[in-house]
Amino acid sequence: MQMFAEFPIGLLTALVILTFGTWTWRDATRRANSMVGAGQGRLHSLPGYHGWYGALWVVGPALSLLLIHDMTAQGSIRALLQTGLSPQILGLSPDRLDLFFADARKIAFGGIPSATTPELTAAAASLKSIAGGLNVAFSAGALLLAGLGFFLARSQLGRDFRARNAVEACVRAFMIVAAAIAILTTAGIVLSLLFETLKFFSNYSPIDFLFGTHWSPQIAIRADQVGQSGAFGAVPLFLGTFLIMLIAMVVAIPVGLGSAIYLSEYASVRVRAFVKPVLELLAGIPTVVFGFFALLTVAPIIRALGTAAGLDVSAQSALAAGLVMGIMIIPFISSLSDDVINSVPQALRDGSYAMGATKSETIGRVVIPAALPGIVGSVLLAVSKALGETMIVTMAAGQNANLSVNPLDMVTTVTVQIVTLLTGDQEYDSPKTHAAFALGFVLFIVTLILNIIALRVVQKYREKYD
Amino acid sequence: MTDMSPASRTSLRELVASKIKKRHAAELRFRGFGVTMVVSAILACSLLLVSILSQSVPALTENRLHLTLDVTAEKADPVGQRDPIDIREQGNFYGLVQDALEARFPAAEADGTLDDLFDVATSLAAVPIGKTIAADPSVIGKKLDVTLPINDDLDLFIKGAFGRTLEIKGEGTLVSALKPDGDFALSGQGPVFAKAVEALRGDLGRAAGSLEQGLILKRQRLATGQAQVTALQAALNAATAKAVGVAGAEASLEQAANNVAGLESEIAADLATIKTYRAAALGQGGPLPLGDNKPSVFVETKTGTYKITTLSPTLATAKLLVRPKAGEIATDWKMVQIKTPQDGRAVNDATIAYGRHLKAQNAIQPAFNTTIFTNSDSNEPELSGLLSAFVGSLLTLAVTFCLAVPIGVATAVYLEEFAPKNWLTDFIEVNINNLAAVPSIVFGLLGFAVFLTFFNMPRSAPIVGGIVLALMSLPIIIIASRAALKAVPPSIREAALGVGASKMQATFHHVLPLAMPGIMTGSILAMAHALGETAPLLMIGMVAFIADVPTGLSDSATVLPVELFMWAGRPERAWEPRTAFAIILLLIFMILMNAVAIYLRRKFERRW
Amino acid sequence: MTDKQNLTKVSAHGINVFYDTKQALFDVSLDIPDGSVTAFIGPSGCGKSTFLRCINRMNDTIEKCRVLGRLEVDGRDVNDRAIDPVVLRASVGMVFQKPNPFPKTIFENVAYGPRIHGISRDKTDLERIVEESLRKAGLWEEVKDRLQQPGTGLSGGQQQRLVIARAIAVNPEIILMDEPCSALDPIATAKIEELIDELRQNFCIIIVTHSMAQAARVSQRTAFFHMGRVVEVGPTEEIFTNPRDSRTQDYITGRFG
Repeated sequence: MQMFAEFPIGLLTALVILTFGTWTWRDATRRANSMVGAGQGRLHSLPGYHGWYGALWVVGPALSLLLIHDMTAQGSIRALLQTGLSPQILGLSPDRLDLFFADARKIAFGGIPSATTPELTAAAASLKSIAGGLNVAFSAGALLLAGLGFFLARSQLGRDFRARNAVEACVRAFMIVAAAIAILTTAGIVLSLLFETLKFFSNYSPIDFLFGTHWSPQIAIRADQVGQSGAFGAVPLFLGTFLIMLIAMVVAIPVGLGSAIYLSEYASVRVRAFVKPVLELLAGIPTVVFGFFALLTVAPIIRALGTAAGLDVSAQSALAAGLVMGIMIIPFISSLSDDVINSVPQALRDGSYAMGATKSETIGRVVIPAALPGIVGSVLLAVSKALGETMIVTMAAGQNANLSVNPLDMVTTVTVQIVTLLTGDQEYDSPKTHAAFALGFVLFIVTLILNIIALRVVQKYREKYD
Repeated sequence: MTDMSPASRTSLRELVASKIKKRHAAELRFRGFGVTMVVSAILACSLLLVSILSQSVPALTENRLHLTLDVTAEKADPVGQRDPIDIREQGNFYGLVQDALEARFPAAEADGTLDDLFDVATSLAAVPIGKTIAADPSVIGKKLDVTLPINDDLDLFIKGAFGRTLEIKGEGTLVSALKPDGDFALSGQGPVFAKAVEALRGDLGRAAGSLEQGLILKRQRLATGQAQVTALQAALNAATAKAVGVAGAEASLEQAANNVAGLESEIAADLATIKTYRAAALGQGGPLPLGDNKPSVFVETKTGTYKITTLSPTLATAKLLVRPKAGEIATDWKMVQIKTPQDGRAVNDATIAYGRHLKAQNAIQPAFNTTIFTNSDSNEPELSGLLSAFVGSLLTLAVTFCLAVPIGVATAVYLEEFAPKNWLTDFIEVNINNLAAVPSIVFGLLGFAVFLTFFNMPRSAPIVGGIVLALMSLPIIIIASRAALKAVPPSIREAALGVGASKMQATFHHVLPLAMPGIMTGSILAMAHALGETAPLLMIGMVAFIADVPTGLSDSATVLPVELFMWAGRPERAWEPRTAFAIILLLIFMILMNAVAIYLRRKFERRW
Repeated sequence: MTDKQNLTKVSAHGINVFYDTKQALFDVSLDIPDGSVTAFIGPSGCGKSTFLRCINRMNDTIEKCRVLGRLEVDGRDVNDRAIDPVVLRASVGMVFQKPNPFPKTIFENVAYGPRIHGISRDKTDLERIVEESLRKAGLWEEVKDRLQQPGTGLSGGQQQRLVIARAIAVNPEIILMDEPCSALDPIATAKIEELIDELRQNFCIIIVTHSMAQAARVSQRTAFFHMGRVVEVGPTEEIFTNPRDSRTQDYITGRFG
């Protein structure tokens, strides 16, 4: 059995089943065709549907089984392995036990274990045979299911069998389930955030959370520090988030809007053909790259400039994070505003030009006011994006919850603290985890409100000119 | 406009004409503003790309140590059974490397610089040698040529990351004499060190200048600190009067006072340093004192290296770094100056001196950096690579693609072609639009709460990451697919229905194929977006040290953007160029994906 | 007024217009007198709107459109480099096919021209100009109580009159109308036609129309355009009762177009 532990038998089985499915499809189609040829009259469904019906029965249940196996394999292997271990190993602390299993896996599948003991080697060997056994068992089960499906489908094949309706019902059911996932996702977000937030508020007052000015989530070491379980006054976080968003907007709104106006009203086709891809490239760069840029290029530049000007600049200043976030948001604002400005009817511009207005007068007095709702909508969406942006601030803004509006200071944001609280080695059920969800809940509600308003405004605007 | 007479019209025209100049100036200003904004957007983009490209340059190549090992059985296979597992687990391969290095510099042990010599390569670098020997135990007892990456800091030094290394060729024959205190006195014929003294004086002058610059800021801080102390003193007095919070006020005052005292002593030390620098720069005070906090100056002969401690035009006192071959007559020697002082770098002078000799012997040679492609994560920058992260990204994206595209397209087809228009479908639509704008980190929280905590799925697993990214990409794919479906004219559907196709057949045989290019474009763009996504994956534990290549969907794994996030946060300098290099690889993948999407759009673009 | 009618206000000599490589007007020469309404008629795409847009140089706003030839307003060539289209358009107003009030209040719509050109001395002056323009456009009585409401909230006919009021607020000499009634119902059309007849007193009006009946009703002179050329021009009565060219004959009797 050991040999099947590393041998990708599951993958092989999946390939076999897929091939079998394809063959079934062709076979059932041919059979249905031959029924027509044999003069059994018109079939209810086209032969192809009989083919699909058979293939669905062969592939569907079997692949699902394999998928379930893949997702549960780790847990089942460990559970099975535990039954055969000595009580002395099972008595280890959970951390040590985890390490034991990890080492056993490494010995079994190649890797550098932290230690090599006879127990480990033995465990590795039995782990290998358990894994191999499970692989073989599930693969055999999948093949069996495929065979059963094949015979079931074949037994139903007949002149009056409504294969098309069956296949279409299957497809339709799949589509409805798919559409429901969007709602399920939202429900999942709301419920999980709400559930954990309520847990947090059962220990910590919402008033202190929303209006407290002291944030130090570390569990207290000295007795005279505020609270035994850390202080979760989130005002410094909100202020920091707001400050960085504000800096980002100060950069992104003029540059984004200015570029959009220039590109849609002034630029020649050639300039547009050059600038638009540049902005699209900027939009496609992952935020972690912007974070790196902020941390290693922009922050040192700002610090050097500030020092030269005799200012005391923190190594991780709000200004650096805000500036880079602004750069990130430029293409977002410019492409949304570009769409909005382009949808202002040409008739309005003509009317203004015919009155003798210059281009800038037309833009400033007619086009922008006409496009204003749409522009406001896109700015609101950009604000929501800035508030929820995580990587730039995690890398460049720092962890210190300073209650400061000085852009040269280090501040922290809601998203930074969520990351900090959830990436440590904490238990799932600690006040810090719950605090992260409370922050996430606030973030979700604020951005949701912004998004709803923005989408409404943009929608209304579109309807007006479409 | 009351008056329609020609005269009044003429005066009106004149009024308009008189203001036209100002209006055209305003027009120009506005246009200039637009141009400025476009240019700044492009500049920001280029600054980003240029800075990352230039930061990545040192990581494009790596310096490798080429050694011929004497594979002795006692080190390679202490068990003696020639069993591959024994060899891999018990062999001391770094020992073999150490032996080979020591063979090149036999005097190192006696001089006490053995550790500096061994610093040329780390012990982890020898692991692959073990694999080679284990795979073919017959080499034991023979010679084996190996290549291994050198220490990251020495690598950076050789690439010139610690400032330019200045070399001045020496004239005549160098004479070295051992002094009683163990140092050496170096001299030649006449003022052979004059050029170096000149250059160093300039450096010291500049160093004094920059210290003086820094003093301005420190004095400012001192003033603020002193004001703070005064204020805190007043606060303490007030607190004492009220007898409330005295302890806290005292603590704050003490802290502030300490701060001020620290600054004061720093300033005093700086002043003293400036004074000696200035004096030395002017040639006063005898020979130039050098040290670990000043640029390092070596005297390098063909086989040996000295580090100078004091320098005058005719005489230098020096410490021995690499012992020259006995009886060497130093006719071919040079002075080497390294701008960054030893205190300011992680690699010390002796290791650099050995590195330079190894390079001169062609034992260290640069090559294209392949380690980054073939290795997985490591604590040593020079041994780290992206393989595991790449495979992790691939697995995660495969899950995302397999989930998001079918579900997204099915949803889009359902909403666009089949769903009745009622409150429920309206709600789904609003829902999808809002989901598209939910911050990605919230999806991470969802993944943490639902998949890790509730369903108890493994941490750091590509399957969980893939599901979270799929949920995040779904709205993007749905919106793009619906737009593509909308663009198919109703006449196609009507024609299909008209010849007796079922609604399902009309959709899947006629509408969907026509919408497919648009759907694929949207899906690829969504995948490119998912490839670069980091924040939600941090939440579900994909930020982990992964040294092994993941082989399954539930193995621990990390992905490219998270890997480079971790690299960017590590302290050693060598991570910076490697991270930049990783960014470039990531961007290349994303640009490729985007290019495919654009190609598809261009190729299949259809106007109805 | 009669003496004014005899003066030539607009005079075109050999106008050729190209859109990229396609020629839209061929060698058009035409004189238009002041103080009257001149109608341009002809089938779609015959170049009448293109010619109209040459008079206030609106063709400048279209990329790749070239205008060659000499077109004089009050004896000065508008295509001359020295002529600023901004100044030109202050004296040549234009009304478009679809009413295009700005998304602003009724007051601000009319005040737009005076504001951009800076021709009102103060607020009361501006209010006076707005009121008089609206009166001239026959809209004052209908909107005087809701000047601060958006102009887009008016009915189609009212919007078109608002646009006319907007055009006359800067006291132009010529008003160009590009099928001003084609988007309106018959009652609103009648009102506009009535207004055009009144405005003739003070402005030189050039109207492009699809409706021959309208041309007959409002204009004193008519020019018939066909395939980018002026086929025939003369007093309206003559064109409609006794056309010289057979193509004009065919068009007005409804054989084509």
